[in-house]
Amino acid sequence: MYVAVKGGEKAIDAAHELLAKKRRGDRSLEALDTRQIEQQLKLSVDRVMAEGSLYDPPLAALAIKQAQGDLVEAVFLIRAYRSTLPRLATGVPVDITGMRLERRISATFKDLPGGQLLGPTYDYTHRLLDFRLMADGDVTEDAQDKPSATDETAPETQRPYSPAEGTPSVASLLRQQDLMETLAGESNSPAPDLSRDPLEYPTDRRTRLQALARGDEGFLLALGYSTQRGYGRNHPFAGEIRQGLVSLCIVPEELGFEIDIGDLELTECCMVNQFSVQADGKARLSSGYGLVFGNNERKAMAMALVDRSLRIGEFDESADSPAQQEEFVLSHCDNVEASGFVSHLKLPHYVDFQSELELLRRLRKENQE
Amino acid sequence: MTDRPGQDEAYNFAYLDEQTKRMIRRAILKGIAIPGCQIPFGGREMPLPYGWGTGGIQVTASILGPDDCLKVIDQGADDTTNAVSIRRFFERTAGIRSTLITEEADVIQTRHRIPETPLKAGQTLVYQVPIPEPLRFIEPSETATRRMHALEDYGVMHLKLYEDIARYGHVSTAYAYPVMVNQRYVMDPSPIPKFDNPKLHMSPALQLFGAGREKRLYALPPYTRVESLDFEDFPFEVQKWDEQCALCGATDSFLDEVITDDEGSRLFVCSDTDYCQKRQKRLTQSSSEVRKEELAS
Amino acid sequence: MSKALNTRQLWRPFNDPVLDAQAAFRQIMRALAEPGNLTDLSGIYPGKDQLSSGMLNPLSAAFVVALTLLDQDTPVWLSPVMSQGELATNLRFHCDAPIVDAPKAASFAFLSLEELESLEPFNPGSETHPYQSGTLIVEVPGLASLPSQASSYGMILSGPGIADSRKIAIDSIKPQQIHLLQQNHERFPLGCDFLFTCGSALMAISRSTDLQAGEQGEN
Repeated sequence: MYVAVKGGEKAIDAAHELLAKKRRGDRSLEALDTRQIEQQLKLSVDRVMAEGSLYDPPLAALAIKQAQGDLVEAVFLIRAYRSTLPRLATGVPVDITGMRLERRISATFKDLPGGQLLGPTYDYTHRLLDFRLMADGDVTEDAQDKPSATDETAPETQRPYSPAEGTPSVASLLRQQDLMETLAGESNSPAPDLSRDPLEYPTDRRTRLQALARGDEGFLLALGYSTQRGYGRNHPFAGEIRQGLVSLCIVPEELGFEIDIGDLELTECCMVNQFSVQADGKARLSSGYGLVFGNNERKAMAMALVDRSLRIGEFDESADSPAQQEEFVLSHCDNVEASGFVSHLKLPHYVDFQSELELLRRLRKENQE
Repeated sequence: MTDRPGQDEAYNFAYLDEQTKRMIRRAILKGIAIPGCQIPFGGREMPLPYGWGTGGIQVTASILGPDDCLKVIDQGADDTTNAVSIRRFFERTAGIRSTLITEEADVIQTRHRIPETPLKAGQTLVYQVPIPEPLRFIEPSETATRRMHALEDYGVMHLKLYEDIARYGHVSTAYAYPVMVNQRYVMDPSPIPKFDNPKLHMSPALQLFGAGREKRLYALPPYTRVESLDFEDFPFEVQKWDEQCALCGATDSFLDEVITDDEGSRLFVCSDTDYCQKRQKRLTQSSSEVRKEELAS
Repeated sequence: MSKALNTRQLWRPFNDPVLDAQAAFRQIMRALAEPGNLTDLSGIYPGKDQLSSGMLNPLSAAFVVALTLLDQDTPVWLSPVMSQGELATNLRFHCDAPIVDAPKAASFAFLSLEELESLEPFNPGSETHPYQSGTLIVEVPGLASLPSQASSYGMILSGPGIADSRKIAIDSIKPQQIHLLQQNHERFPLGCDFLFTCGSALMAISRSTDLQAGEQGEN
């Protein structure tokens, strides 16, 4: 006699227990400390903060530990936590030119005011597995002798951050010479907030940039790449990439003046793109913009490429390629939404499937008759 | 401060903060005022994944009170893992009572089914909706479908159904079958089997639909006209089974097919577990008791 | 705010901001889902003569609606009559709601029945965004939901939320005002939704509600 499957409750409890066991792994090894994750898997932490849209390295590290290093799952944990947080204040726009730079490069000029600063990059490493990291599990000794993040006596080339004396952006240098597009007057209306208001199409650039800033790195990378391969080509040059620390300030209502509440690490990318004729009849270069929490150049560059390709309305271009289609890009760039909906296929669908079967059998039967 | 046994003190009652609830509540009222019209709302990330009922959960969290009794079903069953998970979420965050019995519930959250037991006035049925836009698979652009709703331009939908008939002799939509609400809006009833569509019409219960990922909600007030789209010569019809439920003998409920061995033997059981169990209980009562009950009533 | 706040003008808020708001919302939701059904909110928030401070709140149902639905995201418009009393102070203090001068910009508007002369000033939403409309909270001198056999009634309602038809009466409502409500329904899905309040009583008429003027008795 058939007995209907029961025990959803028990199954869930057992699954959770097993998961906890799997997450811990071999108990003869020391458990990971979230501070180790924060320090030694920093680029993972940065990605989780960016896509989770919450700047909190210790929490991002915790999420990574809890998710066994599954970054999309960690982003989801951070987002769900974020939903429960009250909004205490709104920040003042950060001063990017005042960034204490760790890295700043331009592909469009050999040298420029403020200079090129290579910083800690994998770019010119040879991608050879360094078995020493496996052997002693630690960094090489000579690296340890180098100055720490706060060491002011170190030689200039080894100091981690440049002093905050202000470094003009490549875009502003080009704008001084009237070669770069002037941006439409910034609206004084409060910035839209994607984390609180639903996306309404068509959107504006401010909303798009918010969506891209928390969008999935892999998705944006693929879209940005597609524009380079001809699907919505717009001739990009990496005008400037900078990464470093900026001050986050708020103006509390009761004080009426700015106070600095801490540092944010950001990566910014300005793509310089093909020129077009602006309203005053002069041709100027166009641009795309990327800004991401933490150190994540790949994401900032991809974002800048996609930002530019989505600006078709401003340049009288047509939406022929996926990266140019706002609804396509913005509706699918969020990995919390995407992974949720893909994974929901694991839920039972037997009622709908039964409906399909019933219809299919009926069609068959009628065919035979 | 609220102090409820079983409620997790680390979070607000029913998880959402009050400002979020107010925003969703205002959207629910708009949905009720314009039956079948999709209302955008500032959906938040919930601790359950998108696609697993976050829209329904946010709607339920916004209406649920401490005295409510909650029932959660998925595929008609209370003990499917996702139903268990959502019921536990509300037990933990709101400390509410839950039930498996349709008649006892004040709020029923559902995925893919409408209970077989007719709903009553005062009950609220909350649907989890994956894709709220009935026109989405015909027209992927939100800007375009919004315009079609504004102009009541539903020709494409009828055309799609007509093409089905031309090709298969039937409308090939077996679930998420589109309906016309209050003679104005074409609405996706969520992926319920079309077997359930007639239950939408003039229901005494309030029906709320939440799509979390798509950040839309919509509503059917009680006693709202809901007609499944059809043609004069191809009237809408629901699924029928030649079989009956192997457990309770029901012939009037939606049946799930269960494959029982590797030779492909199969049998059919009610998808609505509460309905099936009530019928089984009645069957096991001695026939004299049943007769007594029948005489009494 | 230029003037210092006088705490004696302040009405008391919900006892329990979370659970009272929930209970109130359920009643408001049901009222709108079943247009013409009369509901009383005094179980959640005491009306006249019941406030602990001794301060009367003559608009308790309207205030409950405000406490339940309004916050900094909902621009509010107050009619001249409603601007005179303590409502404005209390909406600002308890709800943090911005009070606007243009009714069109308001998502909620508070007015008295005699001030309901035209719907022109209010936002009915647009064809593509009918839900961006204003909700009107109208304080009236008297409200009644009547049995179906009542021979004397002000209006007979039908449409979503109403099984067959429902008879109601709103004291002192003028034929032109009933006509306004009819016109409001005719432009469905555009239109405003109405929450009629009378002390602690609440009754809703949605834009989806079809209504006809009833038999005039002594009502």
